[in-house]
Formats: sequence, structure tokens, C-alpha cells
Amino acid sequence: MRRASKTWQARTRTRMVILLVLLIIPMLDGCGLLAPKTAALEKIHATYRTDFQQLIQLSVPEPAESATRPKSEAGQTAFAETLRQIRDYRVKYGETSQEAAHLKVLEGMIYLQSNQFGMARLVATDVAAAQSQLKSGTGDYARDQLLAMTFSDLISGWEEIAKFNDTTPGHPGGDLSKLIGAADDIKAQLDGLNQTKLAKPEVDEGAIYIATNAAIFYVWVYSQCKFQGQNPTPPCIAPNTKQQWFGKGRELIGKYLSDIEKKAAQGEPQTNVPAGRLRYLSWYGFLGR
Amino acid sequence: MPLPIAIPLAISAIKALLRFREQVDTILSLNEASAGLPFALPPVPTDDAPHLQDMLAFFKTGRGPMILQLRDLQDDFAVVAQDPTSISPAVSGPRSRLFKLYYEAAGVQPTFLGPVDPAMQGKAIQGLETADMRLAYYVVQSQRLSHNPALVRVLLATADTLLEFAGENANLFISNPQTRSLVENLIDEFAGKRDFTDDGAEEIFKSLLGATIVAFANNPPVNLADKPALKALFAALGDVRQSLGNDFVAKIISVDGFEQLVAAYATEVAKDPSFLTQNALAQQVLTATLTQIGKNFPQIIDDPKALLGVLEVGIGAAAANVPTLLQGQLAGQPLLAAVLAGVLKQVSTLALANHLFASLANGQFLTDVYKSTLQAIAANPIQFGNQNDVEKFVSDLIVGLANALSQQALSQLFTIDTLRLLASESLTVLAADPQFLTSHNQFATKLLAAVFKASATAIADGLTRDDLMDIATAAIKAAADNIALLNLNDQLAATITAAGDAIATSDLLPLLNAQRRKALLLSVLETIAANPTVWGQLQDKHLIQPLVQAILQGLATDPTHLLSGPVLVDAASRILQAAVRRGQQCIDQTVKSDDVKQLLTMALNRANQEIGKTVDGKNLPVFLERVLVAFLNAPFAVADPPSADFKKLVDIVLAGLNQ
Repeated sequence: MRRASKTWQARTRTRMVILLVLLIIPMLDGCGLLAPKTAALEKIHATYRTDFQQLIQLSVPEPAESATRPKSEAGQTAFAETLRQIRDYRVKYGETSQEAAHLKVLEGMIYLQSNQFGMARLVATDVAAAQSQLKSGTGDYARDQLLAMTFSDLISGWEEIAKFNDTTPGHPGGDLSKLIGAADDIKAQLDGLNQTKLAKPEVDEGAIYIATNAAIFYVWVYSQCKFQGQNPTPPCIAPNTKQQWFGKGRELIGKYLSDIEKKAAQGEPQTNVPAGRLRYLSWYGFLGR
Repeated sequence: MPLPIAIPLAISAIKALLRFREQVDTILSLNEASAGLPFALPPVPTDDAPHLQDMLAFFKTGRGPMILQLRDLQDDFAVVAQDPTSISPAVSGPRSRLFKLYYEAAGVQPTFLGPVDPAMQGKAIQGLETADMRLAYYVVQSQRLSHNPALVRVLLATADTLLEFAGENANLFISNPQTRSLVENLIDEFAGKRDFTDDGAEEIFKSLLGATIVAFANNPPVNLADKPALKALFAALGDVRQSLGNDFVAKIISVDGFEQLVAAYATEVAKDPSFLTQNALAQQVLTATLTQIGKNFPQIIDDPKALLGVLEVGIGAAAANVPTLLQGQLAGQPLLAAVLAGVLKQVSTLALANHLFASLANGQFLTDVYKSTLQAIAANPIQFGNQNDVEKFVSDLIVGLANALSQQALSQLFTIDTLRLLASESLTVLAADPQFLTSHNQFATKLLAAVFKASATAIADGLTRDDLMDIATAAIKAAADNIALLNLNDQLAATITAAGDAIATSDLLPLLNAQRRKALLLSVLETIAANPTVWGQLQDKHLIQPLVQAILQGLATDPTHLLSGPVLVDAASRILQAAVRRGQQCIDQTVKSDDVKQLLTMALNRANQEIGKTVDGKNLPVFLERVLVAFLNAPFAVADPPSADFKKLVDIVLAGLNQ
């Protein structure tokens, strides 16, 4: 008993120590000596969030002439500081880890959002290859995994939309066939997922985002097909109605919304919808009108 | 505050930290990797289709086309207008750009096809309530964004120049119909009809507009209203810019006083607004003239007076003589240009051969020669059938003038600057009677030379340049008005010279200041004009100088002391006229010069005796004239002491004085 008691006591003590360590390390947030990778990643994320805010501000439509690629005041490309820190991370911690795979996806998303489609295509293969490293421990689909899976279609859709916003005289607009193709591909890939391994709608940050992208691609298609009225030419197709294009997007988004969220999207007051998901609800609601 | 755990436990924790830190770091970093991050959604499209017809209509009318130009979207519009509903990228891209511009320019708030935060719907342009304000905004904004199509550069260059030269009156200038039309013309000529893509064009445009503003700001011609007063001038400069390049035109515009040329042109047009109907022709003429200068005599640009002078003279002469000078052609090119070429060529040639002339032939001289020539041509166009006629005329004119001015007496008495003025004024005098000049330019210049020579001593004694020109004017006028004088040809010049020499060498000089000698010379000219044939015959026998000398010497013996100043001039003039009126006696040598001198001497002695009785300063010239007339009517031997004939003659004259 005494021995057993000692053993128990020893186990209890070890547990306490480990718990203490786990408690201490987060408290030492930013302590590069004890958790340098974590500190570096946190720093990258913090910088990314700052750069993202700047991107959003720069993306607000200016009166004319502003829809060019967002630039910082110093004339540097958007997300320049985040990208620099990602490069530093790779130099220091290599490119083979799961965290490095996450950063590869983040880098690709940066290029996508800042309309640097050439760069996005350049990293697209690496982003796609990172999928295998991005599986969650539980086997559920991780956000980065889904982004990596659909990345090339995201690029296609965004790139065609950007052409509609190109301010350079004489430049062509987006290709609706490519836009439809990108949206349809995304839809097919999302439909092909094992639905049991998707995160619960309330916490999903991957599929809902990707689905909304595809829905917006369909909206752009409608915005152009609408010029043709009831006699559309391919790729616009009869009956060429709003419902025809909006319905596809709404259905796609709806798959990744909870019932509560769908009710909220219809205007029923709900208090427990996370703020980060409100934009998806807005799109879902808009497409149903 | 005491540590909440036992020290050994803390030590254990520290050891664990050191041992497991990497594993823990990995656990935590993977956790961080899955942390929520914001990702942007694609932009939301606007619902453009319902606005399609409105958008197309907006850009087709009113300010729409200009706004398209400002944004360089006119080609995009053309593409869309052909097939507005197409979904091909070639159309949809331009259409999207047009809609963005339309919403902004027309103040239309588009509907978004998606949920959009109001803050994200685009920043309204604060304070741009009116269409005009938006237009101004586009111009400035376009330039700020380095989107500088020609239109933007023209608009900004115009506004800049108006502000620079007109200041607070810029608005007034552009609002006034007359001055506005100038700006309209200039823009049309420089950016409407021609290429405005290079920087040089902009600089020239600004200089030209600046000169126009200066020229018009103070004294706008009153009767031009909104007529294209300077159209031909602007157009010609535009033509020349295209053919000879920006540098040449820039030099022309930048010469001092260019605005005077602009003003002069407008003044000519204002004098005769019908000249406006000749704008196209005037443009051709000016273009040809400037081209001639640029190609063959570019050095003239270094002399602003010459450059602007010839242009101004050309414009003035053309406006005054539209059929002959403006519409005239010579050897297939506009007459004005051909004449200018002839003048420049001849002046250059003579300048190479004649050092004095080279120093005289400045811009003003060149201008005056050109003017005189044009006036001569206008007066008698038939005589100028080809380029050789023009060049011969110019050559004779300037060679004659050079000879006149090259006389030693003149070149010693006057500085080069004064001689230049003399040359210039001489040309003005000659051009005063262009008909005469056309046919007798050699004669005219010889006449000038004679006048100059005859006046030389008077000049030395203070006769001014103006006095000289008065005499020259009288001589030219007399010759031009009197065909008989013209027939004297070289004799006239010789006559004047002889008379001048006689005056210069007479004993009367102390009694005649420079002005009286001028009066005397004018009197001689008047006398010659009154009886040129006799003067000619006298000159044939070289009797002029002796006769004039005899008269003056006779008068110089005056014991009355009444002959001086105007009385002396009056007396000399009367006696000269009387002598020539009955000049046959002199020509036949029935009466000799010495007889006249003796007669006058005796008459003056007698007059001296009559002072206080019948003779005074007032009637003395008449007395002498009558004595001479009576003598020449019935000559007798003149002897000292006076003969009975003389006494009888004088008595009769004296008796007649009081009647």
C-alpha cells in the first residue's frame, strides 16, 4: 500500500508538473526560447490579420481607377510583411512540417486575395501537394486541406472576376465559361467529400468559405448573362433567370449552415451565431430573395 | 507574495519545461496553425443590365463623350456600342469599365448583386454635386493618376496658362465670347486637327495661348465678337510645326514681342472683318512664309524685329490688298512668301558685298524693304510677273539706297544707328508713293542720294535726321507729282546736288542757320518742280551751280542788313524762281551768272538808299525779284557805276512797290 501510495503520489506529482508546464507555456506567449515555432507562427498570424485589414480598406471601391491590385502606401505589394515572415519561418524551421504546409496554403491565399494570380499559380502545385500534410488529427477535413484542394479553382474564379474590374482601357472582361467551370468544379469537389468528416456547420471555416466563393462566381455569371435577357447565348443558358444562378449558390452555401443559421439568414433573430459566419448567412439570405 | 507551490515542485516543472519544450512547441504551433484566420470573399458585382440603355445614352450626348475621352475609354465605348449585350470578354470588360464610370459621373447609385456593407459600397466623391464639378474632378484626377490623353493635357495646359497669364481674370477671358473663340481656335488647331501627343506641342500651345492672352487682355479688338480672329495664324503655326518641327515654332513664339504680332494680326482682322473669309488663304500664305524662313533663312529668328516685322508687314499688307497680295501667286507659291524670299536673298547678297550695308541691314531695315516692295507690288502688280522682277526691284532699291547712304559725308556725320534709321525712314518715304517707287525706284534712290549730298554741310551745321527726311520727302513727292521732273532723270539729282553745293559754298552761310538752309533747299526743290525743263537745260550747260552761287553771292553783299533768316530765304527763293522762269536768257548766255550777281549787288545798294522811304525788310525780296524780272525781260549791260538803264528800271520797280 505504501508502495502503491508512493506510486500514486509520484504519478500525481508528475501530472501536476506537466499541467504546470502546459499552463506556463501559454502564459509565456511570445517566449521564443521555450516555444519558438509557436511564437513565430503567432507573429505571422498577427501580421497577416493586420495586413488583411489593410487589404480590406484598400479594396473598398474608390471613385474610379482604384480597382487595381491593392498596394500599401509605400508602394509595396499587399501582405509584404506577412510574406517576409513566412519566408523567415521556412529558413528557420524548414518546409516539410505540417505548420510549413499551413503556411504554404496561407501564402497561396494571400496571392489570391491580393489579385496576384501569377504568383498564385506559381505556388498552386505546392499548395495542392500540401493537402496530404494538412489532415487533422481526428481525420476530419481541416480548413487548409479544403483550401488546398480547391485552390486552383479559386484562382480561376477570382482571376476572371478581376478581369471585370480591370480598369485598363481595352482589356477584356472575364470568361464566363471559366467562371462557371470553376464554380461547378468547386461544387463537385465539395459534394464529393465524406460529409461525415466535415466539421460541424457551426465551426466550419473551410467548406462554407469555399462554397460561398463558388456562389459568388455564379452571381457574377448572372450579372453578365442578365444582359442577354430571354435569348441567351452559351455559356448563358435558358431560362437565364436570377433563380437559376442564385439557386445554385444558395444550395451550396446552405449545406454548410446549421438550421439555426439558416433561420437567422431568413431574418429570424438568433443570438448564438458567431460573428465570423454572419457574412455567409448574409449571402445565403440574399440569394434566397 | 509567497510562491503558491512547493519549491521542489517548481524545480520539477522547470526540468520538464527544458526536457519537453520542443514537443510542447509542436503541439502548440499545430494548434496555432488551425487558428481562425480571415479570408476575403470575391468582390460583389453590381447589377448593371437595367442601366444599359441609360449608360449608352449618357456617353453619347452632352458631356459623356468628353468624360470618355478624359478616361481614355472612347475605344471601349465604341466596342460596347456595337454589341451592348454581348457576354464575350471583348465586350464585357469594356462594358464593366463604362458602367463604373457612368455610375460615378451620372451620380447613379448601382444595386449590388450581393450583400455589401454600406461602408464597402464605394467612397462617394465628397462635394461633387454638379456635373461641371465632376468634370473638373475627372480632368485633375486623370492627370494625377498619370492618365494623360491629349484631351487632358490640352485642358490642363489651357487652364494653367489662363491662370498664369490672366490670373483672376482667367474666368472672364474664357467666358467672353471673343476671347473664348481664340481659345477654341487654338485648341482646334493644335489638338483637334493635329497631333498633340508630344511634349513640345504642349509647350508651344501654352506659349501661344500666353501670347494671345497678353495681346488681348488689355486691348481686345471691339468688332470681332466671337469670330475666329487668329485662326489663320494659329493654323499656320500648326502647319509649320508639323513640317519643320516643334523647335522652330517654339523659337518663333518665344521671341520677344511675339504677342505684338498676335495683337497686330487681330488688329488687321478687326480693321476688315471680311478678311476672316480669307482665313484658309491667309493660313496658306503664312505657312508658306514661315516655311520659307525656316528652310532658307533660319538665322532671321535670331533677330526678333526682323522675324516679327516681316510677318507683321506681310499680314498688314495682305489684309490691305487681298486680291493682289493675299491671293497673289508667284512661281507657284504665295506671293508674300515669294517676295520675302526675294528680299531676303537680295539683302543677303548685298550684305556680303557691301560692308556698310551689312551693318545697316538689320531687322527693321529688312522689314522696311519687304514693306516697300509689297506696297510697290500692290500698286502695280503687272510689273511683277515673276520672281526675277521682284528680285531686280529689290536689288535696285537696296543698291540705290546703299549708295545713297554710303556717301562719305553721311557716313562721317552720322553714326551707324542713325544711318540705320535714315535707311529705314528713307524706305518709308519711298513707300509713301508706291506707284512712283514701282516704276522709278532707281531714280528715287538717286534723288535720295542727291538730297543727302546737298544737305551734307547743313547736316554738319546741325541739320537733323528729321530735317533731312523732310527734304527727301519733298524731293520724292515733287518728283512723283511731276512727270517733267521724272524726265530730268539723272539731271534732277545733279541739279539738287549743284544747288546744295552752291548753298554750301556761299558767303551767306553765317546768315543762314541749319533750318534756314533746309528752307532754302526746299525752296530750290520747289523751284525746280515749278520749271523742271529750264532747270534741266541749265544743268545741261552746267549753269546751275554758277547761277545759284551768283544769286547767293549777290544777296550776300546786302548793305541793308535786312536780308537774313526768313527774309533771306524768301528773297533767294523769289529770285531763283524769277531767274528760272526767264531762264532762257541764261541758257542762251544772253545773261551770265555774273550779270545776275552784279545786278543784285547794285539793286541792294539802291535798296539801302531807299530804306526809310520805299523799302523795308518786308518788301525787299519783292523788290529784288521785280528788278531781276525786269532785267531779264529786257537785258542790258550791267556796269558799275550803274547805268541809266539800271536806274530807270529801279525807279519803275520802286514806283510799283508802293502801288
